[in-house]
Amino acid sequence: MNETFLANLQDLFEKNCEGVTPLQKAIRKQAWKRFSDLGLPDKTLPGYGYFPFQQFYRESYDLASISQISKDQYFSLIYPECRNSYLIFVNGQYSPELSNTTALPREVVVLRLRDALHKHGNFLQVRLSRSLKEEKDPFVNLNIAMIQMGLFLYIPQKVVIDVPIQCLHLICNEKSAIFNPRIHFFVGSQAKARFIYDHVCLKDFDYFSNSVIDVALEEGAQLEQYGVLNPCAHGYALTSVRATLKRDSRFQSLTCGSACRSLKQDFRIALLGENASCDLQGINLLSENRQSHVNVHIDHAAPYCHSNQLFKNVLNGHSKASFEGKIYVESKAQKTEAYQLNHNLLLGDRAMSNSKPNLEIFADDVKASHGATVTQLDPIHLNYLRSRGIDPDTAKKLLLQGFICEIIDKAPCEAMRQRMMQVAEKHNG
Amino acid sequence: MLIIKNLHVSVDGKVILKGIDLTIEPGEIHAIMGPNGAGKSTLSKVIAGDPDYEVISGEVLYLDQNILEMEPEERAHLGLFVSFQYPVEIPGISNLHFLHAAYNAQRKAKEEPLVSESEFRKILGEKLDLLEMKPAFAERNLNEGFSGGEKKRNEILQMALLDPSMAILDETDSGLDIDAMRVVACGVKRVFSQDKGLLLITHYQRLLDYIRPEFVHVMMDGQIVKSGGPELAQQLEEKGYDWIEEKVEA
Repeated sequence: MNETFLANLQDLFEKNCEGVTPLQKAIRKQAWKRFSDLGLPDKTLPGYGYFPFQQFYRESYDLASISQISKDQYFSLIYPECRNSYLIFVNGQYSPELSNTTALPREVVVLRLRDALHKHGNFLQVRLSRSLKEEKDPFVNLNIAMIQMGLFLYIPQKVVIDVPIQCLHLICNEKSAIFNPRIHFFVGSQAKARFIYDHVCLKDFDYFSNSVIDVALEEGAQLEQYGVLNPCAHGYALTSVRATLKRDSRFQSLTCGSACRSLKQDFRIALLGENASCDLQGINLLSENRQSHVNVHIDHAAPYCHSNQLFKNVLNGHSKASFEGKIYVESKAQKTEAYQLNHNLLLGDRAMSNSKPNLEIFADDVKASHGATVTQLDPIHLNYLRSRGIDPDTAKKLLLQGFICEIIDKAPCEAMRQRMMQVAEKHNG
Repeated sequence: MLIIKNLHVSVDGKVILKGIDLTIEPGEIHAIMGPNGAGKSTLSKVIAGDPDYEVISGEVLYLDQNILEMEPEERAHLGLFVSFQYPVEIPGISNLHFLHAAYNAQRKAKEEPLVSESEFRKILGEKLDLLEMKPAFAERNLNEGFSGGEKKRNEILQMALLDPSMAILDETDSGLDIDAMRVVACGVKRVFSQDKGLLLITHYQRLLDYIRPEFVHVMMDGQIVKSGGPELAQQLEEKGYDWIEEKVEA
């Protein structure tokens, strides 16, 4: 089974190498070799412990085609705040023709990855080489090997982008396909940006989306990213975020996911300079037999850094969720503050949740905590609301909303909050 | 309007209330006093409909209806309000959102038109003023991070909004400083009228200096062991509960 899956990927890889520049080809081959050396992931790999491999490795895919999309199909999905600052991906491929970046300061560079490889080669090649050397997740390497049309976004130092940038991923392939969207952010020192992404399914079919967001934050840089992951029910979606943070920089991520056959979010954040901080939050709303898996690794490699994680799941039907998180504090990372929480609300009788919070600390002056809960709606809370005349259904709805809103009330705009609420309502009946 | 007859209640298999009889008529203010563990809070929770408390025998009639058969929200719709000694904290739900839902639930039960959030904000604003509470109070999460006194004020705010015909206030005075007590007592008196009933459950006399009950009952070991007028509260304050205990034993 695994051999067939691998052979399918090899075919696609070779097909994808046709007609590309020698530089692109060299990088892809290197990535494929790394992927092959690591082998297909299995349940022993961090973050994959509950991934449904048996089912997944039975699938077969083709390369995504470039579907024709009209403005009517996506314009209503653009947030009002982003009318002149949106980037469109169709079936995993960045489309400059459909995108609009007129609201961005002129110093900001938005390029196809292949063009950036030549224009900003030094930075990108170093970044890719390091990733190929250090990355242990085979699928993140596969992303580089199978890259089709990635995006490079460079915000030079001290440039502050006032408007949020929306990245809209549209999925509308005609047949089973693999997508490997890749985005590279380079945020210069003291620069600041807000990035919003949406995954929207225009046609529901089998697919494997293997996306990677690579973030490099220079000193004092700030990047906030907010995502609504609403993949097609029949898809497998892997989103991996890799970020390196230099001194005084700040990275914030907040996602609301509805999951699919299996939605896996994987964060690997390295706090490399003093006083860097990251805040990762997410909520996944699962119904039927959908699955969500979150894996977080935060490396505290410098003193005075701060990290915070809050991940929540609402599980209906016979959905499954897992959370695996590690805070790794190196011996030099004194005065670290690191917190991690995972809360699961089990609403379905057959729903299942696994949580594995983890701390590994080698410094001796550290404030750190982790915790996990798996609960149902609290009968004491329900009774309190009912004693004020609120009927049981409304009371349950209110409590559920309370659980969800702790995350989604932090959405950067009302339109996005509304979209997150719609996802929540859809999956909680 | 509220008639409790020979009420026996247990929790986790332990009998707490051992035959309570109490009648409250419109316009009457009653107080139940008693030492810790006497069963005072159990009585309020049973009336509110807490499912953890099992009624072994007895009746609680409110406006001639047996409320023990009713769901907690049905009791609230009938005009009963119980303020809790330890109101729960519910993260993620704003006070405004909760109060609006409760207000509209009552209106729906009375078949009155629901009010919009903006209309409700005005109504809430008046009640906040009544209890000298800041408008920001409405935006905070329900009881989350509230001090003991703030939680109690929030309970009275709910009472003022829902305008019940009978209120049972369980240890509303605990956690309140003297100024807060005056404001809360003032708020309670404004809501109270001659067609309503009020039952104060308290450990100490001090709330009763502000809201003077006409009837005072002493509860001990799950029973009302003595009833009297306001002078009884005064005697308890001076002599303590041991005095009653000795009298009962004698």
